[in-house]
Amino acid sequence: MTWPPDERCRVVRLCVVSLGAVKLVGAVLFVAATTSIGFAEARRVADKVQFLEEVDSALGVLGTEIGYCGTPLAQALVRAADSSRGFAGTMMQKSAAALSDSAGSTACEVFRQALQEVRDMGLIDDMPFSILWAFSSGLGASNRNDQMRLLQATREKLRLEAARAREQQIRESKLYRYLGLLGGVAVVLALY
Amino acid sequence: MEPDLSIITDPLERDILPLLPETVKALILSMPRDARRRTEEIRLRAGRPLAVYLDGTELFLTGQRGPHVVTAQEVFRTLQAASGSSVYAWEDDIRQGFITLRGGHRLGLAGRVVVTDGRIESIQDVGSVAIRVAREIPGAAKAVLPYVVDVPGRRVRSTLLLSPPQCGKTTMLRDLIRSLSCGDMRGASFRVGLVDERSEVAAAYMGIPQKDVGPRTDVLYGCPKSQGLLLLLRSMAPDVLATDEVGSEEDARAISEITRAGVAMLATAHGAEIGDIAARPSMKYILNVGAFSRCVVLSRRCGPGTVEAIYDLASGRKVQGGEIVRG
Repeated sequence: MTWPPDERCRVVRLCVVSLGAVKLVGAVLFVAATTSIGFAEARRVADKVQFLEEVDSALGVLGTEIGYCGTPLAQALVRAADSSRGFAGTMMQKSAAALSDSAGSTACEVFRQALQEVRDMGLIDDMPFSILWAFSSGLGASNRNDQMRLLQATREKLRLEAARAREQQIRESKLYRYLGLLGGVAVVLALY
Repeated sequence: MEPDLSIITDPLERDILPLLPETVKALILSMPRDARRRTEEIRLRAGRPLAVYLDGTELFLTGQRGPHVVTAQEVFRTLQAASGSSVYAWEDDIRQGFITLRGGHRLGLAGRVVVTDGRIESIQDVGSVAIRVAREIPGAAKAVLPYVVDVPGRRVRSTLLLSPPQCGKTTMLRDLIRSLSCGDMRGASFRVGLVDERSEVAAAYMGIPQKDVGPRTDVLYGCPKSQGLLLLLRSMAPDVLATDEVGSEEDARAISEITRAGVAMLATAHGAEIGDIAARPSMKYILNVGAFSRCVVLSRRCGPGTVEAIYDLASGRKVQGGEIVRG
């Protein structure tokens, strides 16, 4: 069976239009994907700052519990976790649970395990990670004054890192967002 | 999932083994069960062999490659586990050289002492820990009870339990308290106030005694003895007040005041004979004011809790002697 010439033209035109629509939808989806990657990356940079700020706040509560109330560490970690949201709270909560559950584990071990999980999620850079790693080695292992000094020193270092991370966030957040959007558009234009 | 430790009845296995590093735990568990149950103490000294104390002898535990030499890390881990990684929370106890563990066991420690203004500030770089297992022995005070309770007069004679360390003073005091509280002596029961400064006698946890100290016993723990005794005297109207290891001048003054208030006193002190304590000014004061009417001298000649002699302090004569009675 052969199609009449008019019908053939109509089918070809329809195919061309459909192909254009598919390409357009594909381009929109591609740009949306690259944009969301850019935004996710910007969010990750912001999360790092937020995490450091939350840890600083949680260590403040921990300092109050240890220094003024002499609260045992597992309980002090629970109170620090209750007072902070996000991943810092989760980290403290996990440390407290592990410390209560296993009598043979030390605070250093359980805190490092929780910290490693945070690192695996990409929420902490090398420098603050090593600060908290070093902090954990003395956690709960000395008298009240020494614990307070340890907490104070750690918080000061973390605040510096948080300030650095904040500057990085200002610089890189916009960059990642624009890069995601514009990169996607550029690829689409190049393919068109 | 953590094992349910409540079903384990041996206090060493239930309370102490979970605190020890795996290597040490394995060696203790390799001991015959009967020897484990007779173990009184476990000693970890950094750089030296792991030791257990049983039947009056300190033995070194050996593994497949000879005696297990304890590492500094193992001592550190034990201290961390015992304090729940909260050394700061036990600061006051550590200053006195010990931590009381759940179940009433005592972890003594030795290391570098930090002194400020002539006062012990803390003990750091801990190199030795000695874990003393607290075991309840119901009936440990049975032989002594008739000399402590005046049944016709329905009163308790103030009694001092005297012995060198590890002769069963605390165990006997606990059982005396339980017996008086329960009315084991022909139904004569008494209200007992116990000042348990180091939480060794009643091993109270969250306000509830873990050891059996009887139904008529009120426990004040974590409180200095001298203050606690006077507090209980005023607040709880006890028939008998009891405390462990007296010796300071404040303790002597408080005991003197209590016995003058008509309340009987039960206490323990370190010393092999009455002459030993009479040489200490504070204890001499207690003896001179006649605060105690009985003194029970213990030893471990026939095992911990061996009653060597019971003295009537008013007459200075032995009430029961010559014949050795196992407590």
